[in-house]
Amino acid sequence: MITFFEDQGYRAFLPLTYSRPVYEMRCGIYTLRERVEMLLGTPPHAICRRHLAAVYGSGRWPLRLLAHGTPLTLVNGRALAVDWLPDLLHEPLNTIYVTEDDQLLGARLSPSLASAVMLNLLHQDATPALDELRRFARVVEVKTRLLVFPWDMVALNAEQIARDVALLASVHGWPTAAERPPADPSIVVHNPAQVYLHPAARLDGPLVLDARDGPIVIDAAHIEPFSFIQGPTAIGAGSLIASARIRAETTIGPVCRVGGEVEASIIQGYSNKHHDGFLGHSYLGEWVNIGAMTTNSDLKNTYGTIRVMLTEHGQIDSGQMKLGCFLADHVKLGIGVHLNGGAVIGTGSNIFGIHFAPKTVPPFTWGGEVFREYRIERMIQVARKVMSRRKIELVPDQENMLRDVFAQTRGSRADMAEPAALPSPGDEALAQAETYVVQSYEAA
Amino acid sequence: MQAIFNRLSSLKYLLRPLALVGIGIVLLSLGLAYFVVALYHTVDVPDFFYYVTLQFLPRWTRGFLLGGAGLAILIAGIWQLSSVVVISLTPEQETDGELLVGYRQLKSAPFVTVLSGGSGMLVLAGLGRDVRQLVCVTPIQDPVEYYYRAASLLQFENVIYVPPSPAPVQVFVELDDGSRHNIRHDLTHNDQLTNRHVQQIYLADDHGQPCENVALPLLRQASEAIANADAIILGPGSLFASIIPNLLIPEVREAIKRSKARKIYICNLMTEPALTTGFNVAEHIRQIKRYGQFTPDYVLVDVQRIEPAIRRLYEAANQVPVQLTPEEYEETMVPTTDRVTTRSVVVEGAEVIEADLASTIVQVSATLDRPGESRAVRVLRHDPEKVTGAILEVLRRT
Repeated sequence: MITFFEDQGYRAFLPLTYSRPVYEMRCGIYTLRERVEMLLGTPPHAICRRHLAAVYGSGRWPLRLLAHGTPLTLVNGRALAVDWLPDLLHEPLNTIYVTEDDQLLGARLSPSLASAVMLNLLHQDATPALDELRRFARVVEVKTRLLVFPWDMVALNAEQIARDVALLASVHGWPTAAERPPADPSIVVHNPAQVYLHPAARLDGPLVLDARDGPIVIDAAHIEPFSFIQGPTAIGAGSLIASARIRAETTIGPVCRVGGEVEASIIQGYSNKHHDGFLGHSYLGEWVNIGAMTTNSDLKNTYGTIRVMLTEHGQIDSGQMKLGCFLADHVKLGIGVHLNGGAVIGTGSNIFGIHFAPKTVPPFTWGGEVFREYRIERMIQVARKVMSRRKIELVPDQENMLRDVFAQTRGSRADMAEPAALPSPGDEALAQAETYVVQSYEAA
Repeated sequence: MQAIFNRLSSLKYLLRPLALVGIGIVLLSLGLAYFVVALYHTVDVPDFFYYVTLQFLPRWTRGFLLGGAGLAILIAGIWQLSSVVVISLTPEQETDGELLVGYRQLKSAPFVTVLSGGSGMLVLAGLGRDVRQLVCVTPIQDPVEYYYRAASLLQFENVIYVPPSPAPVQVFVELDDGSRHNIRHDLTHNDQLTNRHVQQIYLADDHGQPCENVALPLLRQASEAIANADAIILGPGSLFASIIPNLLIPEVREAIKRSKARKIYICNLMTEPALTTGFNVAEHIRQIKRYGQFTPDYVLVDVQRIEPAIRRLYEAANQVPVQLTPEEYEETMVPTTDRVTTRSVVVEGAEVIEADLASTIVQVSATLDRPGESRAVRVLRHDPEKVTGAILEVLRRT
């Protein structure tokens, strides 16, 4: 039984991980959960924070994980490559894998030893768990790395796409463009042996697929004419590429609408960036909407490294010369908003009517020149409308999770203007912005 | 330093009102000072005023003295205010967008550790709702997954089950007829052993050979649960199959002895054939003292009147109620205040509390040979609600 766990490292990914566990963040073609499920053919279980457990885990108090006499295989939710996992499954009982920097990567444990660390893992505290496991288990050091900071996902996306392509080819066996060339002669393919096309992918020429620098994977998506796609890139099922320039090292998850120019970015899924505007070296969560001409910077004029304000660490130098923005789930940006490199916008925030957005915006915030707390009822109302336009229901567990995140992050909005007691001109602007967002998710 | 920061950070919601109060006090003090100066210049004040206003000291010194004293008082005030921490009174039920502010410090719920096994362990799982954390240390010889399987079916929360050690060990008993048996074999239904009781219990290897000198390293979760507990509860469960096996491990005994937790033993409702035949309350406590080398602080004994029909059923199986009899206890009177004296019943050094702990239930059972033929029997069992209530009452009043 494979079970993911979140360790204390999830904190470095806040605010992106307020509303999703680390193992549900996309890097490469897949999330870790999808990757392991593809590798082993069975859905993994998960121990995560309690407010996420009903949506993404195995329940708030997952005692049933230990209810079987079978060994429990633990996998760190921050793991990226999983080539070590088959080896772990064949290790003797009570073996643990640690990374070179001495962090718990995985473990194959008896129920009794797993029960000894269960409470630590329920509290995302892997350090004492590792100390305890060292006393009773065989330790093997593995040369692999865990994701540490949000920009690792962006920086490592290209090499992970290449690894995932091997997995995809072995599991799904999609034909390459060399094996089954596109019928439309106006579709130009460079290095067709590295272009993997789902049988249901719809390619409308003229367009260019350039896989000379890395593989291109197109699931059952629709690529509109005049698009340019450069590998390594992955495009998820149900997505629409609207005459866009998709440059290398980009992953677009399922059911996204993408236009304009995108470079070295990850779009988790169900998000829109339908119009012109540049998105580079960035990460977008789910249900994000970016208005027309909204653009982010990913390079300083000084060519210096970019600093990012993280909830856990405060301001930190990413060491990256090229780095864009991080938008958490349900973030909405209006038209013509400019974002600085290293900008971080928290879950559910709605920013509009401003030329330059602040570099850090707390979760559940709305506004432009003045920021206010976005009342949770109203935010959920919009999320429900947006999701219903993609034929997806906002289930009570998801709604409760968002309410929990709202409560958890209240402190970050303490300095903001009080929500207006009476309707104000700002409220009308918010209503207009919300209408625009809902409309942009036109019925699928 | 982190603790100080954490405590003071609780005042972050009060920054604005505190700043306003501070500004108000400064303005008020300045206004008052003007009045005092005006009064001083226009009215003849008595001589002692010279000393009260410290005029024998230079003005700089007076300034430093008053400023220093004021700062010290201010810090002390803020420090005290931070202990009246601003908290949400109902953290689980926050309403939309509103900050709930209370001025009451939540009393932290107790940390409880249970040493038991079998179905008795599940009786106490409901206690997880009322305590900060409930750690159940399962008997060393039992596979821990049995407990997780049962607990997950009942969807318990805030309960964790952990064996004392991952090392595989068996527990054997020697009965008063000299025979030796693995405790995991169902001795209570062996007709030939009905009238027997345990003479000796010991840890053994798979072949029944005693392994007294084998080191059994404790899991940290188990040792910390015992060390940090506010209460250690022994039972409910079979004395020799569920409670005493873990007391055979020297590290567990030492941890219990070192722990400042209140030790509460929940005595069996009935004697068990082949294990505790003929044992009264005192004998149960003596066995715990013998193997655990400590005396429980409290012993909960069922006081409920048992229906004659049920009593007859149990008697047919050679089982009798384990209830307190007058000849086995001494009564002590402890003056707690000048006017109030508490009467306690003490058996073997442990304070015995008699309470209604059991209920009669209908148990449906079937055999593996004839699974289609189920049999309904009325049996007496520890009642989870009653036992939990009694434990919480003991914790509340002690």
